[in-house]
Amino acid sequence: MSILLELRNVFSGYGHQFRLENISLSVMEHRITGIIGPNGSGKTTLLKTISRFLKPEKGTISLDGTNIWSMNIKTFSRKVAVINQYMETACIPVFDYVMMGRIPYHKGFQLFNSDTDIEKTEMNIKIAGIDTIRDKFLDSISLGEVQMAQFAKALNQEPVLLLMDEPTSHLDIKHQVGMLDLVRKYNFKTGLTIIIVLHDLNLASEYCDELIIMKNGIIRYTGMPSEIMNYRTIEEIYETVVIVERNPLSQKPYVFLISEEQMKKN
Amino acid sequence: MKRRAYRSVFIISILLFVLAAVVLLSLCIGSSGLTLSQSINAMFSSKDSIERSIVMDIRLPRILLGFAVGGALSLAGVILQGLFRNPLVEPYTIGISGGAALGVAFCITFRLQAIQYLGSFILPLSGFLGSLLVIILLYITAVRSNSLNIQKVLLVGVMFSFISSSLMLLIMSLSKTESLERIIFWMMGSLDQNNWGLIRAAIILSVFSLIAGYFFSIDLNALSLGEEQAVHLGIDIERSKRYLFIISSIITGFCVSVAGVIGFVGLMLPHFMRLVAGRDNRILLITSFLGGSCFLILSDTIARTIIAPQELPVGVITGLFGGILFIYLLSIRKAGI
Repeated sequence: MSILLELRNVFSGYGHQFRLENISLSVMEHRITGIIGPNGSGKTTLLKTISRFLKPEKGTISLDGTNIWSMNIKTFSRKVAVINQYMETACIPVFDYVMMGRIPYHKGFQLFNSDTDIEKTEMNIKIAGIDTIRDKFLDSISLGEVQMAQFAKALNQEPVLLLMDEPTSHLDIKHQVGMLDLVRKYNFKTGLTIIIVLHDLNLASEYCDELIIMKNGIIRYTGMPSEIMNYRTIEEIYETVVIVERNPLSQKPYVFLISEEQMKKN
Repeated sequence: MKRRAYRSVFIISILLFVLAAVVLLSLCIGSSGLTLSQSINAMFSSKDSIERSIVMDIRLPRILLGFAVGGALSLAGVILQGLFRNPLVEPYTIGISGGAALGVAFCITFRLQAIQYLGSFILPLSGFLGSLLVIILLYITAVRSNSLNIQKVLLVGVMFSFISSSLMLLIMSLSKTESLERIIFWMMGSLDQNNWGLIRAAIILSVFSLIAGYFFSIDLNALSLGEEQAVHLGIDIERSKRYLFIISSIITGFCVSVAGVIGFVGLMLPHFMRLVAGRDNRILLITSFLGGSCFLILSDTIARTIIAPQELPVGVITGLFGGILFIYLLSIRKAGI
């Protein structure tokens, strides 16, 4: 297995405000890599830096051995797709929205969508299971469905790397599990490499092959969930008392929270 | 899904047909009381006659200017609404028309038209310079570290609008009644323009900007999802924002300089066309341009015939008819703006 994405000594941020400091990391291809950490730890900034939305002040980011900033932006968008946690819902039908994933493949003066564009869009709408709502407007469907539409649009870009920024944060457990099961299944089937920022530690532990734990703009731990998800790490990073046990079925780490009242009793 | 392509072609053909019909209608009716057959004969006869002169020298220039200005204003409206992601923006919102009006008022008050060799060019020229000044100021204030802050353009533009209307009041309060009359007459907007050079320039510029805008139609589609999403779809947003801003503001400035402040076309037509022909900018740019042309030519025809031999300001017609038509359309359609 080879390295798909590599960051070397990256410094990045928004002007004088928050910044990422000296980030170096390698992401293996075909894996699901999770990024976790407290609010304001730089997870989203890191994702925006990888997705070329923020230009790093120092350091190099290479995808498949090529510096991402030496690539044409159109070429880059055929390789990397992004799903955001929150999307301003536009007033367009789901089908048209998913079709926008084909924009990186459009030629300059193309009046209509090509047959390939339409075929791929049909296929990815089926994969995301949103066939029944394809004609509904994006601002009239549920958030879970919007996220599925985002997923279908991202697949339509035919990426080698998919970046997801807290895609499940506003969803109920059915849609959380539904979304991540779909992502996992797709990753198994096609080997698509995925980097996903998650707030929910248990989802991260359950679905990710590899975890990156961040705090205050630096990477603190990397490794498999079973290696680094223990009460010491979590308590250190989140400054919260927890108990980490194993999920009885998957044997993956599971974090239990403890209330102050409970702590006093013991 | 091929159906959608056919539908777009169908809508564009209908609009072309309507445009031809409106042009023909407008050529044939007017205050001079020519009959339909007289007008048509005059159009195709080669010898000079009063009829021919009325049709070709009085009506035709107005129609051509209506085609250019209506199309261009509506196009600028689509582009600006897409760029600002704001349905209330129109070409006059960001102060460009204010700049043009200021230029014209300045020119009239200080009697710059006395400059000999510029002749009838001086009013449009000073209007255009005024709008150009606003465009440049807007651009400079809104560009920070190589990035055009589009929300700032909107806010600063609205402020420019207020400033220039205050300055207009100042100039008008200081100028003589005769100048005042001319300023107010200009501000009401009119397609009455007999300078063929300007008309030709307007047509060339508006068609050219339609083609130029078309190169950015996919970018506009992507920008409708927000700047960040557009970047992730491989759009060089800084380049698109810049060119789109420049295209739309230049044509707005030019239209206002030539025809005065004709309201409502740039606000309403894009919405109207979105309701009728969908929001895909690849189609919307063309339909809005054609729709704007039809609408303005028709409005002008009504304005110059309804109380003939007097003439109404064309803005009265565009506002009244356009507004009522639009409210009606909104009330029968369920989909939002």
